[in-house]
Amino acid sequence: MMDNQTSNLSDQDLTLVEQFRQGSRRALARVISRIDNGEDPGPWLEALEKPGVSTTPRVIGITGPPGAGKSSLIGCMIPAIRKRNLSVAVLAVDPESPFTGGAILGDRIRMGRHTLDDSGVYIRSLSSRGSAGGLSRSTRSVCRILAAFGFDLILLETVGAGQAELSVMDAADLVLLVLVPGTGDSIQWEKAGQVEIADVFALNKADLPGIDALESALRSAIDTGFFAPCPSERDSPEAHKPKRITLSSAKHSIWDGPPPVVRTIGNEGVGIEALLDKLQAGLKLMTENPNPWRSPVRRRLRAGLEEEFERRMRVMNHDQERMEALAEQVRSGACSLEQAIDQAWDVLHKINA
Amino acid sequence: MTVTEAPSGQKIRILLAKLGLDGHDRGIKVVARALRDAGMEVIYTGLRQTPEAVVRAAAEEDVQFIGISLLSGAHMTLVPKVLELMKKEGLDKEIDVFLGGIIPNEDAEVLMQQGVVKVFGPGTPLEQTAEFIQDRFKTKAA
Repeated sequence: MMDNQTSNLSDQDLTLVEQFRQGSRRALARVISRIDNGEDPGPWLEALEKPGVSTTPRVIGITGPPGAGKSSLIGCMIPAIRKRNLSVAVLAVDPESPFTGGAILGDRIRMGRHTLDDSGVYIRSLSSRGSAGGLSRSTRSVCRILAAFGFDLILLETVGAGQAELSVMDAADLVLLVLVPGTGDSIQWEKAGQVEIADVFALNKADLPGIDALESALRSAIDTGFFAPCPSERDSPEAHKPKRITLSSAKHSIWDGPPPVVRTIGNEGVGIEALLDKLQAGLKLMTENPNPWRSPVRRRLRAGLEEEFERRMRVMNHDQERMEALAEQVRSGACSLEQAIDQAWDVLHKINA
Repeated sequence: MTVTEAPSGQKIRILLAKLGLDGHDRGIKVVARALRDAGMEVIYTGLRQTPEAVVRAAAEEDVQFIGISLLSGAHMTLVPKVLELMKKEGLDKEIDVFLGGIIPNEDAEVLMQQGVVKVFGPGTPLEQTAEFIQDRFKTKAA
């Protein structure tokens, strides 16, 4: 099986593999491009991954609403991480224009100040091209490639705007949610499901008004498992209805207690050391007291299964004749919907690569 | 603007940068948007970049093109530095360098002899820039 995959690589590719192993950053960049362009990552991972390395928790997903200051925060985190003698790679995933497929990837601007002559830092911009499933898989593979290259930490940044970006967080071992005061009292992040996936919270732009209200609303939600309406919502007709949100529900939480909340000011570097302490503590917990629900391998297994299912569904849906035949059976009463689903399931089961 | 369908899913990646102390970025941002609309991935690295930062970013981002905008008159100092660094990293054969901004014709000629592929003067229609890049990409991919 192993030899089979690697032999899919051409001689030119094998040169690239060799250069990668020698530590060539150019080779690293090229391998990432190949995977980003949609090539099957299998042979590359097979050739480049060192056993055990890629399953050590080291990918920190950084998400949050647009305007939260994630890139600036990362720009401050990089030198602080380097001072702790750790090497770091940053993957910045930007949205792609839905019309043309092009993108402006500008996160580097805020991150790159400290990186000259420092081979302990690598920054790469990716656009969220293609389907959510495709992005997720290639992002996961690129994270593994960066781990194989030897980076101690990988920061994966994406805008937490919707489901596609959320699925990118499947590639992360630990999730940092960056929030800022004043971005909408209704706190849409709660609805997007981002709160449930966060392990650490950074309240950025902590010098702005509203920071106290944001922190107390967040902490109270964490403590009670109920969502506490923000001040301006208290008068709304919905305010009296408690919405149960389970934050870091017990089985998924890595912490023995509530997740940490850190105030930061990204532009000034305030709170960065405290934030890094929490992030490192989280990774350490994951490594030493692994919660089986959070293991990187379990996560990849689940994500891989979901993608495989979606892929087979797409193949099924394409088969107009069969789908129409099934539909007709249901319409005519020849079989029930549930029976039709059973039949379809049999077919799905047999679809292969 | 036409969208390039590159073979095997490969997209055009271009790095845009302003070298030196020139602080005017409106023009380069207009170009960035136009190239995005033409389907390219534009890595915009912003103002006051050094030649070292540009070459390093180009290597990390694995771009096929670098577009440098200069309005300050420092092009004869800074651009050769970029070309020299690219040669040192072995990137000169793989990445095309374009210039934009205020570059006098005589200087443009000298720089093109040193390795710059094209100089897009002020007033160059955006479609022309995009098409030139798309054509170069097809030649490189072939």
